[in-house]
Amino acid sequence: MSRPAALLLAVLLLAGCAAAPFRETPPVCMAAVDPQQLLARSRQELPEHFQLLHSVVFDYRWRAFTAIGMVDVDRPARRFRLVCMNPMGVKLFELSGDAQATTAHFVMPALLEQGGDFAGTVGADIRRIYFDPLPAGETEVVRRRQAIIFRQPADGGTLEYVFAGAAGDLVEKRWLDADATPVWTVSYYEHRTVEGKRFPQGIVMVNHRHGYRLTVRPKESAS
Amino acid sequence: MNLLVRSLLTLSLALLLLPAPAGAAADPPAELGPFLDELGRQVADFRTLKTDFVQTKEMALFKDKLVLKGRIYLQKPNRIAWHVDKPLRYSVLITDKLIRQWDEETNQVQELSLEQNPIFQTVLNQLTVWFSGEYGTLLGSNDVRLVQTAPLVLEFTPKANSLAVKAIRSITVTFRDDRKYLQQIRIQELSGDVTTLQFLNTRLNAPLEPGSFEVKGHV
Repeated sequence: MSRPAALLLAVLLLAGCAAAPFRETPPVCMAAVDPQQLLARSRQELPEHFQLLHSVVFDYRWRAFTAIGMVDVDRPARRFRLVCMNPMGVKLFELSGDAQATTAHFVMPALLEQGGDFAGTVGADIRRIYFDPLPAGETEVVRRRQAIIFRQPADGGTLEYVFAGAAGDLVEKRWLDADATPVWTVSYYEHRTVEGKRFPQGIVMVNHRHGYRLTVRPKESAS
Repeated sequence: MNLLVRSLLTLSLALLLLPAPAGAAADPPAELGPFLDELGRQVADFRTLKTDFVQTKEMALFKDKLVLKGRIYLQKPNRIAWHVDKPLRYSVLITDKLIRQWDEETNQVQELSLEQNPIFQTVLNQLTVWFSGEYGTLLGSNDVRLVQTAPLVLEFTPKANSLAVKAIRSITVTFRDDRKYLQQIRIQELSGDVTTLQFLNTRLNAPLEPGSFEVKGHV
């Protein structure tokens, strides 16, 4: 294979891997949207305490692994609980945590054998996905034609919130390190209003540094 | 090997294969050892199984229950297909050589080596033990209690020297009224979690369609 062809193939493969299995938020012009009003409305529509059943696909090194998760998130208290099991109902791990720490109630030994701080890593991803859904404190507002971006300093880098679409939903949250390199990105898709609160129907979290991706889909219990 | 996994997978899968004792309507014998041995001797007549299931998980940390529904197909000596229909579609085929699984989220069929998968290996090993009729060996690691006779309910409690005692409080097995098959398995964990596996529309020795053991895009 020629070098250009190989490069093209690589680009296509990478693009295919990166594609989210959800519909992108239809773009609208955000020129007339007031950023502070956008945040105020988002705050009103923000679910505070919720329990969700969902599937999770973990992609790592060209392998995909599917699990069922149940998560309970209390945003005001900044607490979460999470249980994850394989599709046969065998528990893989069970964690709880707050803004700082994660407690492992159960972790399958095979997962611990992979090394590293398993519970800490999962807990951090849960916080990235569900905690701090709105910018707080001093933020810089960047207006784009089809998006409003809020930037705030966080953990020695920058946390960015991207709002877009007709309903002005949070469509992406990402953290960039001091060199402005994206370290992780959470994308939210297909928002729906349930009892006055906005819920994304698809979530994709990419950890660029460690090279894995989580795809989260809400599910309904079979009962 | 994880104790909980071992218990959930092996005992639940294995227990669901329990055949009825000879003379199904008779009262169970006073001695459970011979009773369990007799159960084992009945296995030779058991070739295939198909059943629907409802698996309900009550978790100590959560107020809502998780319910999974699906179907199980089994063909002796060592082929089992476990299909989940809700909350997501998933299928796994376990044979003596390989594991093949599929789920709707990835839409990929993955083949794994049984040798390199201790969880599934244990499942199959335990199934083999059950097929060989060594039910009496349960008494070595469990206290077995006859809870009631109509319907027949047996409770297995891991003994202090058992590996399962660190995770399982008890496993309660309820037979159908005709005692020809199981109606329910209830696993109580020390964590406070409770898993109930109910079997519905169970048929023994019924012909199995080839599609029963296909994993991709099962219906």
